[in-house]
Amino acid sequence: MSHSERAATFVADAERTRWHDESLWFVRERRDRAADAVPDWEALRDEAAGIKRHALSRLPALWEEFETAARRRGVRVHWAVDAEEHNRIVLDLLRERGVGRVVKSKSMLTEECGLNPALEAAGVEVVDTDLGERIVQLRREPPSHIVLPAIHLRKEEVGELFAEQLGSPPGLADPTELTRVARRHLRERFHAAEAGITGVNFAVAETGGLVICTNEGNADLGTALPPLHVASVGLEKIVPRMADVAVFLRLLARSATGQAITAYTSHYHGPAAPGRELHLVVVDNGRSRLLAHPSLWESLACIRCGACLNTCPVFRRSGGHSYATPVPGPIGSVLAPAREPAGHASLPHACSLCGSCADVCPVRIPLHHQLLTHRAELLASGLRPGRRRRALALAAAVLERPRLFAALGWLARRVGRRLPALLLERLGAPWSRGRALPELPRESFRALHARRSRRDGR
Amino acid sequence: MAGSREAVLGALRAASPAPVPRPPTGRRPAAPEDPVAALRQAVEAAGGALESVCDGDLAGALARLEGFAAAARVWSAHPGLESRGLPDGPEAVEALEFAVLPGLLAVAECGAVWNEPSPADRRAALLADHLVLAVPEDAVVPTLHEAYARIRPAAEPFGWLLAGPSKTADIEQSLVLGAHGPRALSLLLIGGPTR
Ligand code: SF4
Repeated sequence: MSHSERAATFVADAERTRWHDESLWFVRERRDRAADAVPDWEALRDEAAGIKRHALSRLPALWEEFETAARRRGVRVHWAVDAEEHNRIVLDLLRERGVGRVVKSKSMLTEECGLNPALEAAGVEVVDTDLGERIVQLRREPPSHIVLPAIHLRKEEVGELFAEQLGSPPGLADPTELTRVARRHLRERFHAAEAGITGVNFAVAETGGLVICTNEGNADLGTALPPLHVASVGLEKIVPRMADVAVFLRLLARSATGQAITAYTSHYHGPAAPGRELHLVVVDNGRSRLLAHPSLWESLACIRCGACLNTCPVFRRSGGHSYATPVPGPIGSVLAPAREPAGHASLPHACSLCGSCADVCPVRIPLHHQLLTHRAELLASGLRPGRRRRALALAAAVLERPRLFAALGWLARRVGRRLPALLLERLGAPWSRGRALPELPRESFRALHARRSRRDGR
Repeated sequence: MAGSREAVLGALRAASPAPVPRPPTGRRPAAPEDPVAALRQAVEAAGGALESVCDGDLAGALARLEGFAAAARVWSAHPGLESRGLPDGPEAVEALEFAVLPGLLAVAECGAVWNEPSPADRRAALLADHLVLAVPEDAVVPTLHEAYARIRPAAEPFGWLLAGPSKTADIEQSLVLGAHGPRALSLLLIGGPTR
């Protein structure tokens, strides 16, 4: 299925589409206000972009530096070539310690690796503890947004879900009361858990430290209560120095939600006490391959703030599930086809090339240029429908020949004006679905321009 | 899985783009004229409250916090205050009304406070209803850059920046305080004793 086919399901509910669009635009506006309040915002983006590219150009050295420092602090570092190995490492760690109950905080990487299904298949209970993630987990669906996992749902739907699965009184639709229900339910799970799994926002090479940001404090409860903490990190998340974290923190929450900083920004340097364990799984899963691409490697600079999703006119109106990838939106449309071109060939086309994503990206990833790069590569590799390739070849042939272009234009204006509107629309399908063709003009732009120039004596 | 380590690092070596030099350190914004006012604004935006305390009178400031005088269970990691009403055992922290922690510094631009808790203090700070952070008045820095120049996160296994109470907006973008942790946060700026 293509992006537009999946989006059709979402847009069928016009009221939901409007509301989704408006909510995300509201978040975008909050981001703008937060950014405007920082006098050195643009310079900060330059610096962040520069640090990330610098780091990406020397990942092996940084990870070796990290590993040495982290080991010294008692962190156990594991390496995973792909998703399968990542899941196996995590499962082995749990099994060796007889862990049957796990709490997990938000991590797009574990989503990418399919960790939950892998653990569940092995009989481990995994509870996602971010409220939005818990909601979508109870609904047995993936998150629709990397920062706001349940942004596609209305409060009444959450109320129904909680009544069904958590035993709350039916008809509850007040966000505060619903949050209280979830809080009580999750508090029990935190206490019962034998291990906490988290993602990582920043790995610091210099100190061997991990920095994890949340608003709810769920990663903190999940690592402060159980004795075992397993963190998963993608290869791209490393920064050289502790002081670099300040640069990214000033950008991250402002870009994500318009807050100045998340409520909890936790720094881990080894297990907190004797008898406690901290394991880190460093995951490649296609990242080194992406790093080798001449231009797309820059997409590894992403700090997963979600700003490009919130601003994207296509994302806002088509919903995160229409992308069918762990990370949706503009950045997802860059990452997914790079990993698996055949499965995600329509995503780079779910884009008007307006460039709004690149305008807001805190680390200045040229997202719309990268989508264009994908389009060219997908077309060249024959992964786009033949119809589209032939249409583009035809357009190229005509546009290269000015006389042919003029002649065909003349013909189209003569014949087109006489064709019934319905037939014209069929010729324009599927483009004309939901749009009307404009009336064809009597003369071409060039003829008009020539006539006016003559009149004005130029 | 030594094999995977070599495989990953080897793949990275083969794939690394040409070296990109480190960018110059950015010019940092000028310090706000009134750092305490800026801090207050940031703390309130994060859903917390800021109280300036003269004469180093922590006890007096705490007594003015709503519910503190009557609170049965108070956890203190602050040298200037005794815990009270704590039962023994690990459940002790579940029903805490207040947790009081010292903060090393506060960041005016974002309202965050740096603290290095022991594992028990950390649990208390997460499970109490109302978190109180006490920071010396002269430890307000303009931005996170100055904060990171002062703190030494790697010196302790754990340290955190705390900004406002635990919060979520995952249901229809409505902000709810107290998603998992404290529902309220008070930052007390402690002025030196005027002797
Ligand atoms: S690509 Fe940029 S804007 Fe999009 S999530 Fe990543 S960092 Fe944020």
